[in-house]
Amino acid sequence: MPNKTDYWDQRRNNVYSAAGGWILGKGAFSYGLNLLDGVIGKYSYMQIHVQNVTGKMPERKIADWIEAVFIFQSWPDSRIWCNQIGALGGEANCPDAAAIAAGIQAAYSEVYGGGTILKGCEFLHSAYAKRLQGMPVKEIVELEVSRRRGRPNITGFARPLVKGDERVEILWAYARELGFPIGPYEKLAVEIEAYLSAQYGEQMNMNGVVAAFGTDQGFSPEQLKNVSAAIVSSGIEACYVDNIDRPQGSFLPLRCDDIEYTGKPIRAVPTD
Amino acid sequence: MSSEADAPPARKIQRRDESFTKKTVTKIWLEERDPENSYLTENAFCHGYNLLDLVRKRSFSDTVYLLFRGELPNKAQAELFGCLMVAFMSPGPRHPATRAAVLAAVGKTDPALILPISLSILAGEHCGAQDVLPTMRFIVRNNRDDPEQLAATMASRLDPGSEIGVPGFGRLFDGIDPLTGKIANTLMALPGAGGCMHWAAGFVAGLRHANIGWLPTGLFAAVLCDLGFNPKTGAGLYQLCSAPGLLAHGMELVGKPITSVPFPADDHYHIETENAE
Repeated sequence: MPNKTDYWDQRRNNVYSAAGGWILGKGAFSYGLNLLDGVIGKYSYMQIHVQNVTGKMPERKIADWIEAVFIFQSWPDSRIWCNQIGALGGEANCPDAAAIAAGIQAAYSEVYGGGTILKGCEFLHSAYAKRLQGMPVKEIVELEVSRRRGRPNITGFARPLVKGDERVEILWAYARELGFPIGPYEKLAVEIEAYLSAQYGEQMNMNGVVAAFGTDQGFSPEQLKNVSAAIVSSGIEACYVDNIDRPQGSFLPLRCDDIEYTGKPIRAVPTD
Repeated sequence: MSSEADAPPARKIQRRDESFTKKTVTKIWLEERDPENSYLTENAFCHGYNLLDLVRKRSFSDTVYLLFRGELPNKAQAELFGCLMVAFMSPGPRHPATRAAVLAAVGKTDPALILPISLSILAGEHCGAQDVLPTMRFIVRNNRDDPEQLAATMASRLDPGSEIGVPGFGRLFDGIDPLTGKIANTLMALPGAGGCMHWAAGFVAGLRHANIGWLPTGLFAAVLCDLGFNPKTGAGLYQLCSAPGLLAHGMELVGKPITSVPFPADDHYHIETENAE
């Protein structure tokens, strides 16, 4: 069977970009918007970021709301796993970019950070489809709980370390302050939370808010994930900087006996 | 709007009663403390073997095997794993991960960051580390079935030109990858080659008429299965084995002018979107 390599042959030494690029003498373009012509002072950084990632310029108020989420996902608490990596990078005098990149990668996680957004959306979208078919919230939630072998740890409605999320109220309030009405996904998310809270003591977390509000604003799950890929960076950098000038070994130092060895007893190496 | 949406539940923050361990536990590594300073290591043991004895008596590939499997390999396993590490020591200069290393190097990036940069790109799904785990699981789950029959069944459901849906098997640039096929034949001639590799080879044979063959990650996964590695280690081991080549290609460009790597000219850069302004 002959190989059809035309597609790749045409692209050798050619770059095709939908996102944009720099054309010397004309400008630097992001999806058609010349970043060198009237952008500064007109759009916020977050608006440009969202456009760079999604290809669409969001309203300023959407970008402002997303910025609030970024603030809330980047706490400088160096016990949080990704931040602890940043702190260790600082203590080890690792280059800042490397420490921050390492922390960002760590937050591509199944339980926290931007990595959970897809799963949060997956549940909420599936719940919304069931709701449209007439399934009551109680059944929707119980079905999901049984799928999780009786554990009510539904992404977007459970959180490591604590039950509840103090950021939720603030983000909903900020959405109202910015003039956003309650959308259908937000309404459903709040109803799910009410049931989960009454039955299992679990409440919505910020991921649930992002999934609901983001969907109501027309973002796809992938777009929400992509926009949030580096959302933890500021907190990581804070923890990195906090430790960069401290003495070597100062961040949670470990003595040899602080690691518990449970492996094979000491033995001789067989030759060959 | 429902009453629930108007009146969300009172949100209270409560700590979970999670019991965190006081110490990190490991079966891999024992550090015996210096008698005078409990932060210093007097002796280190890997799965019970004194590190210095391993240094004197065993190869690097043997000790990598030991780290992940908990036991040293027998002769056939050692030969197969050592050959696997050689076969996969570099994904080649055209792989995106290698190109990332080269771009970092020629862009005057700190040389200490070249390897982690390229390994991050090797974490991808296209001939990358993400392919290894699902491929290992596929082989383990199906290797009691007749491989050629399974392949024929799967291929019969394919639309022309579509992928088989198992990450480690497919087409590269619309063709069967000849080099991986040759490496597979070389590794399968070794005494350590086992049922999973032969099963996967049978699966590949059944796909050939659909223009589908081994992908590098598929072969890597099959060998790891025969060596008894946990599928969850597959992605990292693929990165580990590829690391020497990634780093070497990067280091080859360290200190070279930025003009040492092609930079597409303006007339080769095609912006597909209309200018808004």
